[in-house]
Amino acid sequence: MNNLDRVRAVIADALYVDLEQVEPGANLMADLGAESIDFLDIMFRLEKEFNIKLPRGEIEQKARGQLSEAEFAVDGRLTDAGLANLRAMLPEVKETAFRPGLHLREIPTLFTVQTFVRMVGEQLTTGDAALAGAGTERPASL
Amino acid sequence: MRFLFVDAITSVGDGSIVGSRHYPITEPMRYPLRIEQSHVAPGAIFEAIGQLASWYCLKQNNFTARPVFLFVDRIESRRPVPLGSTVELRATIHDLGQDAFRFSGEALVNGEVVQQLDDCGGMFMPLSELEDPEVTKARYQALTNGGLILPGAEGPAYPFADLVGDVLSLEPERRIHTRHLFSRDEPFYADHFPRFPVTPVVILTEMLGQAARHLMGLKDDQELALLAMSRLKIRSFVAPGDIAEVILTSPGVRTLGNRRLGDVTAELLKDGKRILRGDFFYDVTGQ
Repeated sequence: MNNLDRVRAVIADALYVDLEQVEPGANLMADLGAESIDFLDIMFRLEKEFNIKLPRGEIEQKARGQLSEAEFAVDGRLTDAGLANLRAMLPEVKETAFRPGLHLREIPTLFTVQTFVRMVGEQLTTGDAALAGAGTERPASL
Repeated sequence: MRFLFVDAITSVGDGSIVGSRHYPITEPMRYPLRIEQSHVAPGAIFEAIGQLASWYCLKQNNFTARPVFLFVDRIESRRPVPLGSTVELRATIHDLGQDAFRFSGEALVNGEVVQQLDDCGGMFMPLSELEDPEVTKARYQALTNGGLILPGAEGPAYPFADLVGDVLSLEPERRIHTRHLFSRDEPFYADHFPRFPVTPVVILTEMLGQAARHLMGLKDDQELALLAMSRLKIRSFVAPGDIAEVILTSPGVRTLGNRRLGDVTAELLKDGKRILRGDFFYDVTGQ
């Protein structure tokens, strides 16, 4: 099974939906009924499935990049620069989803199945090789 | 009734914590169906292990955040814990971040593992939203300095059977649908949590067990024994005044020797939304 199929199976299992519904472009919240707690569950399950560590808040941190806090978001809402960075971070998400004034806590509403496939792929490529290749052992403690 | 399920913390290591809990004859979280078999509600044991793991996290984050919600990969209940037992509790925290944690644990009686938790998890809420952090900190100090038993650790048995509420439909051994209103007067809300009362997981899982007793047609004096639960996820709180609906489905009872065993998939709904799901494995022999 390739990474896409493994991620789809994990998401279907976590959200109690049929595998057929978990298409790469499906939005987890809008299309598959995920709630915020489900993201944590999916992260946990993916870490176990692939034996990797998915850093929490990574997307927000990477999107912020070199921007200062004020340049990235004001009162929790993304600035134009912040939104542009986020768009670059989430190439699989439809352009129209990046609406002006998006709140930081709304970032997960953008996530699609492909977002997790990409995150896993990146982690498998750039993550701790020893960890990724450590068979069935648990991820190391933080 | 108090929801402090750990009496003492005996050691804290790097990623591990050990404690204990004595369950008196008058433990409120008990099943008193037959005196000779009276035992602690299994949910109370894993709640205790979860609380032990929570104490570790609270200490690590300097009493700023407490774990709530729960994911359970698997819990095995190997045998009932008789009243009067002192249980050694162990938890290993294998992932502790800012927003979530994962742990495994076990409960032992006289060196024998009676319950085992594999890969459970929770996420954090600010402690001050749940309870007074100073009280929590003082309790931790007491637990690590000889122990702490609060008033209310003993009392009448909690009427778990009442948790079934109304049976809306029943297809014996296949499907049951029940509905229960959680009264604002429930004794556990005072402690769980003082500033944010929500129904403890032990109450929810015992509620499912009681519905399973109806599903499997057990009589009032017959025991239902939880053997294992897996893939349990709680997505939201059940608060005082909430109406919770339970839907249990089963492929039917199977026999193994003289035992009758039942696999049950449980769902708990609030306002029509599924907020809990899990797979449960019961011994429904009824002895």
